[in-house]
Amino acid sequence: MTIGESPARVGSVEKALGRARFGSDQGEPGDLFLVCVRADQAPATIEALELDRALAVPGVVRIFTAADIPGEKLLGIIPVTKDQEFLAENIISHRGQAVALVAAETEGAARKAAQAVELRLSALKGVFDHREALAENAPQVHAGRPNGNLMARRVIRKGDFESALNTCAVVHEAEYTTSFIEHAAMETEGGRAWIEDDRLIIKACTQNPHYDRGDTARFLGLDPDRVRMIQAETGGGFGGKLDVSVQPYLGLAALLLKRPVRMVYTREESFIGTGKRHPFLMKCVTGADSDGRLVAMKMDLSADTGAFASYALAVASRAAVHATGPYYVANVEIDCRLAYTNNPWAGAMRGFGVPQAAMAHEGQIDGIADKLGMDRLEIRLLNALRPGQETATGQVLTQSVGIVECLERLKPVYRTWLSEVGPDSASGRGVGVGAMFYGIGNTGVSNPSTARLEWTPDGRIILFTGAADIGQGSDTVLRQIVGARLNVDPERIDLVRADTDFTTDAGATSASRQTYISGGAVLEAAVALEEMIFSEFEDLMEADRGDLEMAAGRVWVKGSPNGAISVEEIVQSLAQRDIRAVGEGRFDPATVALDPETGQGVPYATYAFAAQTAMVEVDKLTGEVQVKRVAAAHDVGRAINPKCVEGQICGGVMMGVGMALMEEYVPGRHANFENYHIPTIADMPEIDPVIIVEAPEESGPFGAKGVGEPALIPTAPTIASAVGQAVGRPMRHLPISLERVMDAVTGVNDEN
Amino acid sequence: MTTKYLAARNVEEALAGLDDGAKVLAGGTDLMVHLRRLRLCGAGLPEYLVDVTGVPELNRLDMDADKPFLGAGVTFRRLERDAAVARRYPLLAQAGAVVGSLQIRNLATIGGNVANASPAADGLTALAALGARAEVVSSNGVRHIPLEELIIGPNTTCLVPGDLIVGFKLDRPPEGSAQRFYKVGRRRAVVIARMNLAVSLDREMTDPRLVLGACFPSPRRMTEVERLLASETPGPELWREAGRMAAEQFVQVCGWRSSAPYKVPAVANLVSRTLESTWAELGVAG
Repeated sequence: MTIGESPARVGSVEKALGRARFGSDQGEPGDLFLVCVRADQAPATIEALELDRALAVPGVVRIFTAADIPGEKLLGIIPVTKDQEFLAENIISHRGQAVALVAAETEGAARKAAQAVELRLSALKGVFDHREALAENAPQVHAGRPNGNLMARRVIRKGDFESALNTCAVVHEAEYTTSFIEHAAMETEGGRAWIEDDRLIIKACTQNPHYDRGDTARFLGLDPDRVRMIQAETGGGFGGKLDVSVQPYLGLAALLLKRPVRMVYTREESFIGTGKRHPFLMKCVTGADSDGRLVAMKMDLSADTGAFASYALAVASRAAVHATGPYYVANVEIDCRLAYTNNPWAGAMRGFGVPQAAMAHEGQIDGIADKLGMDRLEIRLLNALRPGQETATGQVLTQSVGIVECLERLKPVYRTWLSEVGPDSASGRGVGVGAMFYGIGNTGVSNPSTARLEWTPDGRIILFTGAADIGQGSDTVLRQIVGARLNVDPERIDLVRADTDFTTDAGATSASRQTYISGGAVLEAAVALEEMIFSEFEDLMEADRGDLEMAAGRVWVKGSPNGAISVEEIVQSLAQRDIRAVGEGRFDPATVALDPETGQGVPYATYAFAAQTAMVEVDKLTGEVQVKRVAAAHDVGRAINPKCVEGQICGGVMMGVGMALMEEYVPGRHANFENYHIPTIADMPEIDPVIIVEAPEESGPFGAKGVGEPALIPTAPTIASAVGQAVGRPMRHLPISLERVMDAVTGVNDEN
Repeated sequence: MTTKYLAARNVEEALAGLDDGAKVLAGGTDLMVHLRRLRLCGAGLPEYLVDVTGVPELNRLDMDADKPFLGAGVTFRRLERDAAVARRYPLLAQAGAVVGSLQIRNLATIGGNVANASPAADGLTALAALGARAEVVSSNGVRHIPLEELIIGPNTTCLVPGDLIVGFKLDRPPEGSAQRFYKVGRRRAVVIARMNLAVSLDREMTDPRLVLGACFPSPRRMTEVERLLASETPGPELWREAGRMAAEQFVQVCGWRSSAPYKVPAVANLVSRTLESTWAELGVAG
């Protein structure tokens, strides 16, 4: 049994020794190097694109423009909203958009030539604020859209908000904002492409190889069968490697030049040329009864999706669906709108709008608690979803609802810290608490994963999965699932991963879905393989099917281990009849699409839950905030690999510290880590305890759900709650910078 | 064209290598970032990098001499850990400990920090409080240039190609002084100071020093505040008044900038608190 144990991560030794070859490490001597020419002004019309000077740079082989694209010019992750020009044809929609692609013999020549391309633009009137973008007469980011700049909208209606609000003993009204955030994955985007047997092969870092193949093939006008996408080791993604980045460029150049090419974004290109987290403005009205029970909640959410749609539809839905938090609220009115602007495009980032929405629902519940003089954790416990209750979308949760246990187990830590800090905030210290729920998998749509498992006649067990391990540990976890089911050491299982020639689509490494959904597919493949092996054993040994056992590569009839034969013999017996011992699996969680008018439906088959508490110390004289301690309780259903779960939680908390205190991407101001701050290890709190709650999910492999995004979601609101307690004023705007703390301390911009 | 690397073994070799097309490499934690930027935008790179970190004179650290000397090639890590520095110039040791990260401190040098002349340089703020005078050599001989004359603006010095900072002569603080260095940043490491402050006080207040960095075009001795400290009775009143005066001067010099709503209260608070804690360390009764 290997479930609940933490074997060493697949590939950890190679990474520790620096032997792993990431996307940005790909390449061979003689490869051409690719560099994009990017516009530094937007919106604008391209008046002229002069290449002569650049083509004269020694070493330049060719410069591609939109006119060279053989296939579809518009790409995008969601099939119905493909709107992104990878090489702008006439209009520059956002600063940093590429207009040409240089291929040269060396990186130096390519960069020099990119500088030498003469791009003449004439400025257009743009819009850079998502509220202004939705005003009448706002400049249109994309001409001819019936909805203008409104990119995505999700509405949720349940009960009767207005009448319910009138019955409330206490009403809290407030506004919250969050900022653009850069993913800042350690590895920038990079990869290599070449032609082999008239087929295009691309090896790049990615979270989504099977999608990459499809969109790259469209871009190039190729049949997808003529493109092979291989995921290179990927140094982090956090959603930033879900959209395609270098893949279409690599494909275009390799295909048209018939030469191997490589491309690696500089940190600056990674900042200005890829998606960001959506900044949100959230206006909330929440009503509760005199006991603190939430009765009515209204939220007006709006966000900036920048120049392109990317995952806007998903973010709009997720933010809306989760806007009430892990609480039962009978009367809900939520309106979430995402607008196009001429800012850099925003896309997927760890949590898809839910970390932003969590700032609002957690701020609101703190506001109600404070108005009623209630304890902040107790009010969450009172309102926490319990089995049998409905979410805002009318989904009745029947099992695997671990929020109460998360809060209960966190309570002693929270109480101890509160008593350490003391009731008054003279010490500058504060304790906060925050909670969240998060639907696993894509929202209200089919999002299957598939897997294949083979036991070869020479005794190898090979797992074929399209799931991209980007550092989160799916390679390790999926092998553990197979190992547990087939009773073999996971180390024995060979892995063929994320290579479209050999693996089937597992869907994206996103939405915290790989353990639950790909884990489900892998488990089903193992069941199918076991079935095949048992049934062959039956035929061979004339044994009774119901009584078989398998372990360590041997099969026997229960109680007669002496009559065991090896799986190899069974597989060889199948092979004699030209039958391969292969199990295939597919898992697609059951969902019901959200109603477009009311938002009612079953968006996810299961939800993860979590609560965190934090102790902060605020220097009220300088505005500095130090997060001293964080404790985290996460319901993951079942921890297949507890160390991986803890790793995700610690990483999520770290990212949450950044979101809470320092991360804010300002287009045009930030282009690298010189002035864009993410937390260092010196900024990290002690994270202790990490409490793993296991409310098993019936449909999950061994009861597992997911943790990747949930790890991050409660952290920023928890820290905001703690800082608010320390300074005596709510902190509703992220990041909680030196300036915002000083404003709170001195009473500037006081909303109360 | 590729950039050539020259590792100087002594001052003469360094000077021989320094001409128009050369840059001094004194750790490189700012220089390499700068060169990368030049490379990415296709601009020309220097013909030579003259590495001076191996020049013995630049690595001299003589804190106990009558005229204390700090070599320009001394790393921040060494300032952070050197016992004589901690004893004589605790504010220099404290500044050394908060520059960048451990990896940066292992390479970055005090001379490089000065030559880069960032308005927020932690090393500059510390040196300014110690009355540092740079010893600059060139083929024309040796000059001694007070820091306030050396730094003529943000990221600008009066040095010309061919000049090399060998080190700094420092004032000896009055016996029994207490010193403090404090840095405020947007995070706790690898960060450019939002504000930094160096304070040196003695029991008799014969020579109080107070320098504020990241608030002016270059770190600034707050001489009026120093005069106030020397003339009034030490105590909470005085610390408050000094803070208020420092903030006022910030506005006077820089105008009401967008950073003022934060920096005005923060400067006042930081100055008065640091004076208070530095004074407390002196343990003066009453």
